[in-house]
Amino acid sequence: MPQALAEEAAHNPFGVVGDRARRQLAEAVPALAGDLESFPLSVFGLTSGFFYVTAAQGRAWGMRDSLVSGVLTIQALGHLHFAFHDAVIDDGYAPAIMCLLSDAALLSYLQGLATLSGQPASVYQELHREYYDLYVAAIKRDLAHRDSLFGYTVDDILGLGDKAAPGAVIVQLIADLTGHPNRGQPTAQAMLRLCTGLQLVDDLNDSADDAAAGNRTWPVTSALLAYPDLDVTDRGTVEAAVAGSGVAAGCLKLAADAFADARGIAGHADATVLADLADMWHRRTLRRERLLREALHAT
Amino acid sequence: MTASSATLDPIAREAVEHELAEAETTTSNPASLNEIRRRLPQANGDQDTW
Repeated sequence: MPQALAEEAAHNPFGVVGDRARRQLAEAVPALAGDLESFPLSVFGLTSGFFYVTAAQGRAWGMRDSLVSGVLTIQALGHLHFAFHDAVIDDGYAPAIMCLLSDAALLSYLQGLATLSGQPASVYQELHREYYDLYVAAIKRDLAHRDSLFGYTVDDILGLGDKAAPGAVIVQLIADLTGHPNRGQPTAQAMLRLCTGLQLVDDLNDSADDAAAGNRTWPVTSALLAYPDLDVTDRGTVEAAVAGSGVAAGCLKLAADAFADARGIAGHADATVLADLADMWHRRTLRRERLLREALHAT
Repeated sequence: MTASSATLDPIAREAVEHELAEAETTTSNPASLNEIRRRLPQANGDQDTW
């Protein structure tokens, strides 16, 4: 984990952020207060260092402690709302309590944006609506591939990062809170490009599980098109098909491109934390791509 | 104005088009899965690879 994210995690550990989010939800829906303790931190996004990118970037731009804490709390609330979406969309099931909390989490999140920013609620509601529309379009592209087997398009691949589009609202918030509103849009652009790269790497890593579950990501789709008789229950064979179809190298090449772009865009916006993260992923992905190509072309 | 992962310069689009074209070529004449399985472990040089 890059140093800035590790430091942010030390300032605001997962457990502390999770407790703040639970308290806020308990105040919003007292009837569910007793249920919140059993909620795992993962539903608030509190298991990955990536959670701290926005807060660490805000701190690098001069955001003070109390605001960082507030940003992390509402980010956790927003995450719960979208974790509910993920569970239903990906697994077809979510716990009933999570369903009951999801609306309250979204309302608390939107109210938190208005309170922290000091702007009329409509300003961030409109920004949320715009990014939500991008997110929905990305999810719809995913769902179309689950319905039938057909090749991915350029827009399908470039738009993978838009599944993280709601997070761009928080990027604009930290830019506004630190007096750099013009950095919001380019930094959000860099973050979404970074997320395209991360999605490509994730889809490659998860190809065996996704094939078995019928989740036709780009790697799975390409493997099935190249090897129509592929046994999707055999992990090793699926991974070989993903490599043999050429999509494994393609994923890594395009992910490396996305990370390099993200690094450049973030650098121009003075978003050093995001640029450093993109650079780390760029180097990591190039190394992996080289190893894969060497293995596939070895004699 | 909102950002989007898809609103990119033409170079990024061309790179994706190139990879899709390569994949299409490979799909029409894919390598033997047994041969690929034999070679893949050599890509496991570090924890980020498989």
